[in-house]
Amino acid sequence: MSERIVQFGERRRLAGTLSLPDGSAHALGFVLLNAGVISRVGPQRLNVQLARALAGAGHAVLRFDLSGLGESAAASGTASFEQQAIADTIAAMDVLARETGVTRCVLFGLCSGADNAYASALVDERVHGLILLDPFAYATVESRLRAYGLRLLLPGAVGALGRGFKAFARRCVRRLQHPLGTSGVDPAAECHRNTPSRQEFARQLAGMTQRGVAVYLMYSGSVSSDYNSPHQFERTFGRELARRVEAEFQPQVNHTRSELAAQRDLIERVLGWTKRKFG
Amino acid sequence: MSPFRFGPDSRQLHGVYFPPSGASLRQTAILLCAPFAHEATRSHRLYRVLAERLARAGFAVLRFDYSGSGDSDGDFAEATLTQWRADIVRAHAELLERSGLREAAWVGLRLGATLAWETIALGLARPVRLVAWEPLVDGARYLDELMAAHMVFLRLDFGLGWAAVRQRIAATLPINDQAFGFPLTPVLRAEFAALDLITQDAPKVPVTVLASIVEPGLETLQARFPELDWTWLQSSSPWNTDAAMNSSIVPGDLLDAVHAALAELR
Repeated sequence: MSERIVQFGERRRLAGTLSLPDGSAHALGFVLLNAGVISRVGPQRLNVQLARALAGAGHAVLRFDLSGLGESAAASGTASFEQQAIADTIAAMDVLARETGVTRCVLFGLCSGADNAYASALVDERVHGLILLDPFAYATVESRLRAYGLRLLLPGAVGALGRGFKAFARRCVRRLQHPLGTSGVDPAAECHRNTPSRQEFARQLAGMTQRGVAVYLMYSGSVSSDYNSPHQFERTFGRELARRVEAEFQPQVNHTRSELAAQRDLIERVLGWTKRKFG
Repeated sequence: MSPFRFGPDSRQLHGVYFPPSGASLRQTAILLCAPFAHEATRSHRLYRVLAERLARAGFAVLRFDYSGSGDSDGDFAEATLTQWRADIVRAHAELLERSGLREAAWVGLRLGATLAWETIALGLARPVRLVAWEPLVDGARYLDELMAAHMVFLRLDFGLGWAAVRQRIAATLPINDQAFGFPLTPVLRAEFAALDLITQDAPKVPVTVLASIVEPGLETLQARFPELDWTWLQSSSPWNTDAAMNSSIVPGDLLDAVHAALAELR
């Protein structure tokens, strides 16, 4: 595995790092997008670790910074952030193809990176795979009730009962107000996302899978206020779409994979899924 | 802004060079030394803005990633503070070669300031000035802070109660083997435990310390080294956190303080 820096796009203002396998590269390459405003290194160096693992498995990988982020200069046009992100991702696939000869791409993104990867896949047919971490999530009545129930079952609730119903009731109220935890912070919500309607998301996913795009969605424990069951995707979107889209609920990991075991788990899952889908 | 890689092929470092611009070009280059792990993630944007600002003031500037961190070669699990001090020396030489200048000043934030301090005190390199921005004074204390902050983060991010966090950590890991997703190997922990600026000599170059009350050891450090140039900042930033989505915070008054400490360099 070796790495080199590439600068590309208009005025060569976009910066990225190419990870290349030692031998001949697989026809399938990967593009890793920024998570939020973090540089292309990724949270906990996740993109670096994943890129090197994929290159070790024979794939060419480009991790890059969107306009204005990390080491990329700002765009000079008037496109919205979302439009510019799509244009930048297309430019990243262009440079990956030019530099390595790959003809098919998998896009990988976390949070806003998932949204940008998803939006790019809708418009570029070179995308044959999508790996999205904490993508758009659609709460159901069942998932809301489960979220509240999970909160009530957390350590402390039983002890609180013993100390008196009044104190317990106060805790219950707090937990109902903040189903994610004491902070009430939803990391995905902090991304200020433009979430499509449930029907539109279903239609778009169906269209992509009919086009042959392999889709892998991973929902972490950090978004469990909305998504908290291994069966939620099927119950929300139906058996037919669930058969074509791999959707996992991973309550043991958090949004940015802040534990080493969660990072190893993610890399193994991505390598395994890639092998299963693309050989 | 030019990202590039430097050093031997076996272990290259990632750097970003900011060529000088503006009316008057300075004869002193500036090397930026990054803080630790997740703090480097949080300050990435801050360093870019600082570097661009210093470049506009006529300085040639280099920021870089230590071995095993950021975009540089290597695994973080192999990282040592000894190697990172050697990386500072290598980056210093690269900056002089790339800029064509004969001298450089160093700016270090948190652990970056401490490593820069030690590198000079050990006689490994000799910049013309060190701006030590909220240096870590006591490595053992920092390890404790890392663990506490990691637990707080898990509690907030998962919504777990304290008991569950303690149970999770006790069940899955030896205490302190990681913080915020970065491995803390026994070697690295031992190096942190031995790190204590109070017991060291002052660097034999002019030093400006940009201090804030957030770092508890700085008052003690000032008592130990009153002869240094001390500036007490009116604000700080919660560096030791994993509030990843806030990593673009760039406190303007802190950049002003760093810039002011370098303004008189020729």
